[in-house]
This record gives sequence, structure tokens and C-alpha cells, in this order.
Amino acid sequence: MVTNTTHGRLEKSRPWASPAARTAAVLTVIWAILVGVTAGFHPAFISRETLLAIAFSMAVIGVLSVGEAVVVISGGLLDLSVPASTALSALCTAVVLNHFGSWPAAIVGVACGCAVGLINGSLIVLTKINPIVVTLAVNFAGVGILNMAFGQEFPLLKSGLHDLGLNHLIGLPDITWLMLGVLFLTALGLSQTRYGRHAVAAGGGSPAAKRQGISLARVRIATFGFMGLCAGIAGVLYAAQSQLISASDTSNLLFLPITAVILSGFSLQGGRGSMLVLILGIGLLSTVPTSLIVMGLTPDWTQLAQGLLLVFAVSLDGFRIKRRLR
Amino acid sequence: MTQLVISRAQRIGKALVASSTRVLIIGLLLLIVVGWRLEPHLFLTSSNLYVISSAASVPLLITIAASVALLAGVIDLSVGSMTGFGAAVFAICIGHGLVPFAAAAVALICAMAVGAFNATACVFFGANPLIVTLGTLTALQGLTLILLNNISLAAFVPGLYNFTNATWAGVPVLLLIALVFGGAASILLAVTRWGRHIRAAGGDPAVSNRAGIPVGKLKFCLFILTAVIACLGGILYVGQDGAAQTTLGFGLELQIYAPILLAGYSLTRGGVGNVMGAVTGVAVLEVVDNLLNLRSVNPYWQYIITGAIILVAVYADVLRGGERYE
Repeated sequence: MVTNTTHGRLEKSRPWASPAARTAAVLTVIWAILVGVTAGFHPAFISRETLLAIAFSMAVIGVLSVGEAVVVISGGLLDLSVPASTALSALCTAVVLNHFGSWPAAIVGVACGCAVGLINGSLIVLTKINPIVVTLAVNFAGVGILNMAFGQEFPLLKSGLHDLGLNHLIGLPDITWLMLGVLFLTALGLSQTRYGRHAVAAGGGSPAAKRQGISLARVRIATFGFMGLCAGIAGVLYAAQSQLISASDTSNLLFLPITAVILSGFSLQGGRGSMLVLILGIGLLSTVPTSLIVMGLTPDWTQLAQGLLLVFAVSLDGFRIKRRLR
Repeated sequence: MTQLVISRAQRIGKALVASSTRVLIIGLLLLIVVGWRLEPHLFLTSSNLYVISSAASVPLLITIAASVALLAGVIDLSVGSMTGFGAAVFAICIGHGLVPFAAAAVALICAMAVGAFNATACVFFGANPLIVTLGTLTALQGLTLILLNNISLAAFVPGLYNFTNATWAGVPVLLLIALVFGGAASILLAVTRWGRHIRAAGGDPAVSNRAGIPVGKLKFCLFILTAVIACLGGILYVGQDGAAQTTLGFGLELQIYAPILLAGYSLTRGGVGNVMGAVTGVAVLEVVDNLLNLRSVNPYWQYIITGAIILVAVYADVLRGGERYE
């Protein structure tokens, strides 16, 4: 008990020594090295165009990361159905957009993503199957259904939604600001509202949370529903910046958000993680594909890097959990 | 009265035909009747049966290795891309003028390295194997495309072609080898000390460790075994097709783990399941696949069916007393 309080006081008096601050420092250094090395090979990397390209990919990856972060911190392990739910949202947005205009399209897109999330959450609560397995199977079936329903590529008409994808505010694209807004609102919701604290408590220790009267079933449905909501927003943002959409486009959106979340210090054990550090993780992971492209490597290299980064992040997290248990 | 001590012969009998296998065999017979009613002139012809059995041979071989590994709690989702990667390495070595045996040796050594990579992350760092091997899956897919330069590479090896297409009394030799491998594996698991160790290590790793079973080493070896057999499958595919296809092994992991789950294995705990059940599971899935092909159903239905099979099979495990997730 005594050590615990001392530890707590230490952390309060020296905020820079907290694990979150350390993670933030490490992420910043790695990010700087990545940018430095890429710029060393190709000085053209440091330009407004690259900044915009990174900001664009940050928007979609960021919103997805926020969703995954909520799932991870509430002890829901991970949601692997992101490609299917994002593609569903983007494709539905495209269909409605071409007939009814921007606003209905955005609402339908977000609702579609949310529906997939609620399906995931209900399946997990009803069947008590591990969320990784549930969302993997839902993704597999979902991609099959989407490919059958939407065939090949789907064109998007010019619209107000496209302007959202093109407009800028203080140097950054509108959609990047939107992503940051979602992130800050979620951070506030997690720390300031009862629902948010319940979710974090459920992740910190499910038996204890249960004894406190928190309904784990409700937390699961709510967090996976929120993940679906984020995937829906990401799908709309994706639709806002593309001319053609196909059901298999989103398959490379699965790993980057997960890696960003885990590298930012969210433990798969649940209950730990800081949303502010997540911004750095999102920035770093969104820079990786762009800098690989600038270095002249094919998309296959991005795929290789994504896979290796994920393995690295999960191993690091596993090692930390092992050390904590010792 | 229940019999407490069972003889070795009874144990072998139980290993070859467990109760869950009997259910699957009945299902298989029903499917065959359904197939015969739906396609009376196409399904039960000798040419179609040959098509089914030659398509099933290589997945069967990999399924058997993966099911032995899963008994110890080792899950490797990267087997699919390992197959493609093995094929690519083999074909490239042949292209550089290596003797087939040397080329195969190079490919198998690469497979061992990948297996050791997975094992290090999962066993030493204690990372979640589902996520780690999902990362390896993507990384290997990228690496294969980089190696092949995104083009399928022709590599015709006459000896291997003759071997992979050989038949004995109308049955593909590869299928017979796979069946013998499966039978041998289940008998060895039932009667040897290593077999009991594998089951124990999967059933309760902590207790097994205390009982003196080298759980970590055992899991390490099984990760390598799975990767090596998957790579062997890739080499056999090169023999069958005369080329290393860029799309080889896409989705193969689910084709392998769906029958394993059907046979009553558990993804979250080892120690339960039966190898011959997995063999029957492969037969069930291949017959379903063949029927879908014969009736020219949209191939994406297979994705949906596989996703549903995984959910139902894992739910059955939860009902039987597998891990309940909350």
C-alpha cells in the first residue's frame, strides 16, 4: 500500500516521468528519425504536398485509431472487421451521394458503419466468443457480401462531400481537423463522463468492474458500436477523397490503426493508454506509407512494413504485460 | 461402469474415430447424398471425385500439421501466405538454375526462419498469436509480391510434376500420402509421450511447465513445423501448376482453420480435438466447395459460408466449455 501511494505521488510530482510521457518522447524521436532519413534520401519530401498527403491519410487512419483505442482500453481486445465496415460505409455513401446529395450520404454512411459495430458487439455478448475471432469472421463474410453486392469499382460524382475532402483550414485539410475533433471529444468522453469511466474500468479488470455493478455486456455493445461509428466516419472521409471506390480498397486500413494504438501505449490487456499520445502514434504510422512511396518503393513494401510493424508492436505489448505480471 | 484403464489398442481406435468425427462423417455422407440429388450426372463421376481429391491433397497436408500444432495451443494464420512465399522462393531458385532438391532446401530453410520469427514473438514475448500471425500473413504476402515482382513465375520441374500428378488405383498419390501422414500423426499423438506432452502443453501451459514439460520449446518447434509443412505445400503447388502464382495461398489459412474448428478444436485453448476429425472436416469443406463450383454459384459465397462456419464452430466450443469471453 505504501509503495503504491509513493508511486502515485511520484507520478504526480514528475509528470514527465510517467509511462505516457516516455512513450510520447520515444514516438516523437522515431517520427523525427523517419522524417529525417526520408528527407535525407529525397529532400523533396519536406514540402507542402507531402504534408497534405500525410494529413489526408492521417484523417482516415486517425478516426479508425480512435475507435480501436476505445475498444482496446475497454478490454475488448481488437476489432478486425475494419476493412468490411469502412468499405460498407464508403460504398453506401457513394450510392446515396449519387442520388440524394451530401448530407443524407454522410448520415447513411455513418449509420452503416455503426450497424456493423452493433452486430459485432451483439455477437460477442450473445455468443461469448473472443472478439478477435468474431470480428475476423464478420470481416471475412462482410467482404464476401460487399463484393457480391457492389461488383467492381464504383464511381463518385462531384458534390459537397468532395469539397469537404478538398477544402483547407489553417494549412491542414478539413477532414484532418474533423479527425482531431473526434479524438478530443472521445478523450473528454472517456475521462469526464460516467460511460467513459465505466468503459475504462471494464478494461482495467473485468471481475472488479462487474462487482462494482458495471454491465460488461452494455460496455461491449457500446464500445464496439462506437468502433463501428468511427469506421462509418472513416468510410465517409474515405469517400470524400476518392473518385472510384471498390470493396477491396480498404483492406490496407486494418493494420495501421491497430499498430498506432498499441505503439501509443494502449495495452491489449485493457485499462491503459492516453488519447493525447495516440496523436503521435497516428502521425508516425500515417507517415510510414508516404515515406516508403517517396523512397521509390512499391506498395508491396508498404504491406511488408505494415505486417512487421504490427508484429513488433504486439510483441512489445506482450513483453510489457509479462513484465508487469512478474 | 466406466472403464478407467484403457488399452493401447482402444486408445488408437479412439484417436482414429472420435465421437466428434462420427458426427462429421454423418454430415459428409448427407452432403454427398445432397450433391448426388442436386447434380446426378456430374457429382459422383470418377472425374469429379478426382478433381475433389486432388484439390484437397495439399490443404489436407497443411491442415494435419496445423491441427497437431493447435493441440499445443499454437495458432498460425500465416500458413496461407507461407505457402505462396515457399512457392515463390522455390520457383526463383529453380529459375537461377538450382537443382530441385537444393531449391527446396532453400525454401524450407526460409520457412524455418519465418516459423522461428512467429515463435519468438508468441512464445518469448508472449504476444497474442492470432494478431502476430495475422501481421506475418500480410508481411509475407508483401514479401512474396516483392520477390516475384508482381508477376507469376513459371518453374516447370518434370520430376515434381509427375510426382504431384501421379495416381495409384485412380487416387492421387499426394492424397494417400496426406492420409497416411494424418493417420500416423493421430496414432503417435495417442501412444507416445510427446503426444501426451503436446496435449498437456495446450490444455494448461502453466501446470505442464511445472510438471516438467518444456512448453516453450514444444511450441517453438510446432511453429516451425507448421511453417515448414506450409512451405512444402507451396513447393507441391509449384509442381502441380508449373509456376509460382502471385495469388497462391490467399485465404488458404481460413480454408485450413475452418475444418479444424469444425472438428472440435478450440482457438483459445489447446488440448482438445482430434486429427482425423480435421481430415474429415477438410473433406466436408472440399465437397461444399466443389458443389458450389458445379452449380456455378458466385465464388464470394464461399467467403460467407467460411465466415459462418467459423462462428458456429467456435460457438459450439464455447457451449462445450471453452473460454467464455465477457
